[in-house]
Amino acid sequence: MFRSLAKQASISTPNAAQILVSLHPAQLTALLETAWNFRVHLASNPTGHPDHRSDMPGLNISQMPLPSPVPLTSNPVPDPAEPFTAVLRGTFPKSPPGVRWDHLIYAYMIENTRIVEVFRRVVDEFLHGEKFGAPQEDTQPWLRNTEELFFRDPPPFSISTLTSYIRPDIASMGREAYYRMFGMDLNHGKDDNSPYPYVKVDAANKEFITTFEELLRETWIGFINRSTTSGANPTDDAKIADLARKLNNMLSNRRQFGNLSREEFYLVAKMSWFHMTVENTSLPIIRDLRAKGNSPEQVLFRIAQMVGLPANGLADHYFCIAEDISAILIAIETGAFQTPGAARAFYDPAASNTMADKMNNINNHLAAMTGHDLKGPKVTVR
Amino acid sequence: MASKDNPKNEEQVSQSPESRQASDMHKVMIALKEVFSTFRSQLRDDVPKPFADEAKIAVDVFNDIVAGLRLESRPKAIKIEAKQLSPTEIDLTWTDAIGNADGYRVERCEGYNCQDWEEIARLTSIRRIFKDFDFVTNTLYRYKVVAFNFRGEISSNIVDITPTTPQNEK
Repeated sequence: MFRSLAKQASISTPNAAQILVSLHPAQLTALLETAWNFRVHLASNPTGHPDHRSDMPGLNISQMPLPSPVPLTSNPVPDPAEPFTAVLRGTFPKSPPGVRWDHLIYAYMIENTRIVEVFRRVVDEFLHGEKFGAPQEDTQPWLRNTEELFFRDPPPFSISTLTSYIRPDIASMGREAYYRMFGMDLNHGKDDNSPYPYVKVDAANKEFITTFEELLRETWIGFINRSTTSGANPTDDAKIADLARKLNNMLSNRRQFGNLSREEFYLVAKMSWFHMTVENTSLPIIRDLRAKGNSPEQVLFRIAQMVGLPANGLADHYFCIAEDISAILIAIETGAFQTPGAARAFYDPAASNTMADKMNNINNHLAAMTGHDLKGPKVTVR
Repeated sequence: MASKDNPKNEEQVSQSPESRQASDMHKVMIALKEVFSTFRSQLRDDVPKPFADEAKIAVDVFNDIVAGLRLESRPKAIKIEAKQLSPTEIDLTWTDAIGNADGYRVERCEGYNCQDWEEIARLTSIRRIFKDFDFVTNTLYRYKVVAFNFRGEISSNIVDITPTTPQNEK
């Protein structure tokens, strides 16, 4: 969410990421509320569908009330949040539809890099000592915003208020959401590597990853045989459609009546904040940490080394597929891909179809992450 | 021409068994070259099968999702200007303050109030000028530029221009 906002605003506003991280926490909270309220809301689709994620309203505000820095009678100061509210306004009209924030899998992929724990230590170091030196003036807003938005209880009644007496730990709330949706925990536990405690419910999609890997395998067969015109073509469109249907069933089951939508929104926003931070090396926080690198994972590795908590060695793969896998799962959730006629979209990179490239990208990186050969035939153990 | 050391003339050389074999080989090679050339041209002409029906819907749905995740908005209308720079060149220029188009389509039609628009160029998003050299002088042309992205497309204003030949060149 924050990352997409900065990227889209950067088309017309230079240094958009820098402006975004320096906004007041109330403005950032207002942007979140606005984004939630601007979500696509087509009543014809069941609640939980990508075009109808939830019926729950956010706070009805376009901007949190802030004290005016100068008397209103003089020249008004331009609103620094305007480039971002303009981006959100620009997503109207809501046709064509399409959800405005990433799938929960995006948050799962980014969190697996251990980025949250690494930045938690960064904030900790800056707040408790001067190991990294004193943060400069332009770094202070990032520190304040990160602490206020993600390491404290959010203000009541806002869409990101997900902690309470019933679920006091925000980190275990995230892990529970991942487990319910994908049947998987994060690949790291607590800082001492002991397992992180959270509620493992029975209603979890434990078949998700095997089904998704099977879909990747079948689409690879389709990809390499897309131009085969003579001889047998092993592409099985019906099987691809069936796998897409199975994935659609299991994901929409967890989302019935808009379940997990707020959790997804908050987690995606949180991870996109940290993803945006390591992606924009011109941000003051990266300068103060002297952590410039050529890619997000290199920046993360440097910071992780400084704070003494290793990031995930496969962080690059997680960063590379997070966005793509998110778009694919949202597409599967629309239900438009579960007929054999639509299966070709998964593997044929003909003009205007970017889906096949994304599937191949996921295939390459997921194989490196899991060690499963998704381009070879399925191995049957007897 | 045969040399003194080799008394056989060229015709005799070409008729020797070894030479005949070489000649046959040469013919085979030419035939193979033709076959491969045909394959190559077929491959070149093998345009990808366009998406239709359910696959088309699926691809459109996916493109919409990607645009939605990027928070893309529809492109805003742009204003174009047309100027004849020389008897052989008309320049179309425009500015795009929002700059969120994925590209621009230049369309033209011929005649007063014409509506049969024809696409004459497709430009990348960084272009802000189009030079038209393919026109007939003293004919009225109408131009418009359509900005497009995943979210949709929007047409610019329409400009009319009648390219002329300067008097001193006649």
